[in-house]
Amino acid sequence: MNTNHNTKTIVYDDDSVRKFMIASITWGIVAMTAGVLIAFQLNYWQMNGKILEIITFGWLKNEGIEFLTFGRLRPLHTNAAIFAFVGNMMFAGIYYSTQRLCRVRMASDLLSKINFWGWQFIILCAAISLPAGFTRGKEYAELIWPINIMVAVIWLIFGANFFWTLGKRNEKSIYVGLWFYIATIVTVTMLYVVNHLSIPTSFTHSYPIFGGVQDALVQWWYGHNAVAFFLTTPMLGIMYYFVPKAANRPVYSYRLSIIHFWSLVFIYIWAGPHHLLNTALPEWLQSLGMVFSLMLWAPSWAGMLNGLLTLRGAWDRLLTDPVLKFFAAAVTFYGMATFEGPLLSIKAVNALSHYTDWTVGHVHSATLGWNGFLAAGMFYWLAPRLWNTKLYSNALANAHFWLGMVGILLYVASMWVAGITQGLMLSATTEGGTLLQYPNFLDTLQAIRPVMLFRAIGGGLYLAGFGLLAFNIWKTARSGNAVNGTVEVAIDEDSHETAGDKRFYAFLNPPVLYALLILFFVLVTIFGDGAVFLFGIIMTIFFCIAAIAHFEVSKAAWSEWYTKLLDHGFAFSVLTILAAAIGGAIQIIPTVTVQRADNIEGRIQIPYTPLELAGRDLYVSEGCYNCHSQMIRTLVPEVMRYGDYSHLGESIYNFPHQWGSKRTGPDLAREGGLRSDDWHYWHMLNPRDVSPGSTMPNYPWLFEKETKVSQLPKKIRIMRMLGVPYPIDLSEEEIQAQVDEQAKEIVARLAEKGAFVEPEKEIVALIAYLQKLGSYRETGEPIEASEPTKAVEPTEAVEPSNEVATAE
Amino acid sequence: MNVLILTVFLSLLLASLFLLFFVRERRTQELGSPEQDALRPFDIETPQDTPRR
Repeated sequence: MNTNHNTKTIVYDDDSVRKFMIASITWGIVAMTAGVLIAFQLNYWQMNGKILEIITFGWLKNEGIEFLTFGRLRPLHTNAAIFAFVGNMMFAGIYYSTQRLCRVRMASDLLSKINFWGWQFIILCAAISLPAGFTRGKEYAELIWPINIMVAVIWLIFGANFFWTLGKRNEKSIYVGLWFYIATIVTVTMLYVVNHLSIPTSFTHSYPIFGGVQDALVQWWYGHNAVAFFLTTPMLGIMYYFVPKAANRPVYSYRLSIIHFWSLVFIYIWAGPHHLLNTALPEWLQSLGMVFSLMLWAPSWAGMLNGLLTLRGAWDRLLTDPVLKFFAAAVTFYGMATFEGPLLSIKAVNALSHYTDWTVGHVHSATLGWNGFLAAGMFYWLAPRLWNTKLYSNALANAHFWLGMVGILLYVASMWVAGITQGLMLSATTEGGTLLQYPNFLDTLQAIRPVMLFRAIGGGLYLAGFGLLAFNIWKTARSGNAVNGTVEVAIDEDSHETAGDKRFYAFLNPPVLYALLILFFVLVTIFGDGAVFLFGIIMTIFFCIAAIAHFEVSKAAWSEWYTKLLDHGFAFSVLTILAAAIGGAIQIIPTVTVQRADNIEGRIQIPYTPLELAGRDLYVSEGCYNCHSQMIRTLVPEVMRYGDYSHLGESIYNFPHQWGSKRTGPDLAREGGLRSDDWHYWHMLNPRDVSPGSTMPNYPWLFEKETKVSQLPKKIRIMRMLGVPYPIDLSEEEIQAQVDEQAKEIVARLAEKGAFVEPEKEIVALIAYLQKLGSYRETGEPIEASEPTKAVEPTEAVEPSNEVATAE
Repeated sequence: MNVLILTVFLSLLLASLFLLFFVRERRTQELGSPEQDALRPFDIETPQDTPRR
């Protein structure tokens, strides 16, 4: 960096941008390949290793490879797509644009390097640990606790580097793209830390500190906002920088982007409970989730329109410029996905769509269409600039566009058809509405298998298109030389944040005070009853009108305040944290502080015996929750199919909860006692022996590997810390004795039916767990912790009128 | 002749008003608008070869 009187030559660190871009493309291919593989597994169970035997004509004997099951690879696919593909792409975009918008090189090259290599190491650890079955059992939060800590550290290093750069900026005002990056960094930190709070039981295993409904709420507060603040806000920041650059015209409306930003950041965080509609989640939370999801329509479309209208006057270039083509399609998919999201959050629509492929189609239209196409547009725009050359082939980029587009459309359309078909079939009843029309879950699965195949083909086309991108970028890089952007910057002594006297004005001013007052009275309305409720409504309306009137009278002053705020990175960040934190705090604090014993709807779960607990950890480790839910919703067809709806208290001791988000197989909330031990034995050995047509993989290794009983004393001790009523004096010998006794009983029952296995094998623990599912006591009955249950007597609640996937 | 005087008078009046408003506008601190920030991404930069290792 040379200093020349009052100007300085800034050399940007584009090396980091290149590295993140290459990493994103590489991991993108891994993520998508895993996606295509597991999509085919849903149609052809043989793709889980048995295929090796088929293609080698029996030379490689294989009934199934444990590292390749859907339950283990699906987390790898989602984590790789979110954190590896989009994560690296996000870093590339942020590193490139932040330096230019701040007119300064990244504050620390060392921190940039740690950010890059640390992130790749994390991804590598994830790519090994997830197929190996090490998981926390929470969606998009599966990584085990040592990796969680690494993620938090690297993320904070990235944050420190970013804010340090922001502090050193040679440009007074903070551009809109940077607002979205600020929101990303502060909110992801908050979400990640809270949802990953765990107590380790070993180096590779931990229990989350939240259980049951609390865990479900925290998980989907995180899960939904991972979409919001990892897959959306950084992408919007990138959109606000790269779309104007590519179109060579400023953003359509900067004022609209102000509304877009603040309303999006404030509203998004409230919408998490829409993942738990019609479940045991308290009604007030469901209503909040639904209403705020519907409100999200407005800011999302403000952003979408702002992005699309930035292309005004440049539409003709869509014919020739692949970058603009990708950007226009990406922003359009953003609009479509943010239309569909609120639609799916309407309780009546969600009753049909939830747990089906419709949701899967929705997230893929956002990830492939919005994130994937935005990434492609950005890479095609960046590569020639990073290597000072021309794009190797526009024709290949166009071919990529059309392959990807056809791929997404095939994917999304087939998922709509599959989801709606299965949703309708699952809730269809015979004439008179007294019986289910399709009592066998597998009938509904068979009906959608052809369309599911189209999904796999669509995904394959998208992957092929992305392969073209990798080749195109590689050839582009080979044809040029790596360059770093340089710029002459006039040094303005006043450009830094010297106006400390105005700092408080950033917090104490009419817009902020009105927003806080309105929010306060909205909360009075939400939590108040009778007169308080009425008072809340009246005051909310009053302050809304007062704010509008005040704004109309003093427009210029309000605008001046915002301009000043944009000079103060610190104040801006604090207000962003406030806007993003309020929604989560209001939903989560009452839920986690409420006395669990008062919030169980009359039923309380019977704690697991040591062997059942070991079986449950196996269930979580195998990722069974990726296909099986444990939540019977408060809907008549569900109660007819699976039994009485799931009450809050019935999952109170589940760390983590296993309510699930997708049913490729039936719900298992009341599976205990529904079938015999030997049915489960044969089912896990080869599901098709007892459930013809099932697409579930074989689990032969459960019959070979032994249950890790030695870990149980520590696990039970931690369960007790978390509030599960195990006896305080339970010794290691007693635990071992209980395990032995229950295992021997199961083995004896199996032997009577001609199914032979040793009591130490994992399958025995898993059967013990499956037979426990759905057992509870009515409130008032004494709780005898960790008594080994005999063969669970089906209660009246677990006598549904269904014949779910039984052996005919 | 009267027309000429009227024209000169009105022209001077307009010019003075223009000057007056211009000076007033210059003196106020509010020269920018939020929309101005929308031009931030359009910096001109020069590529520089990375040092060979």
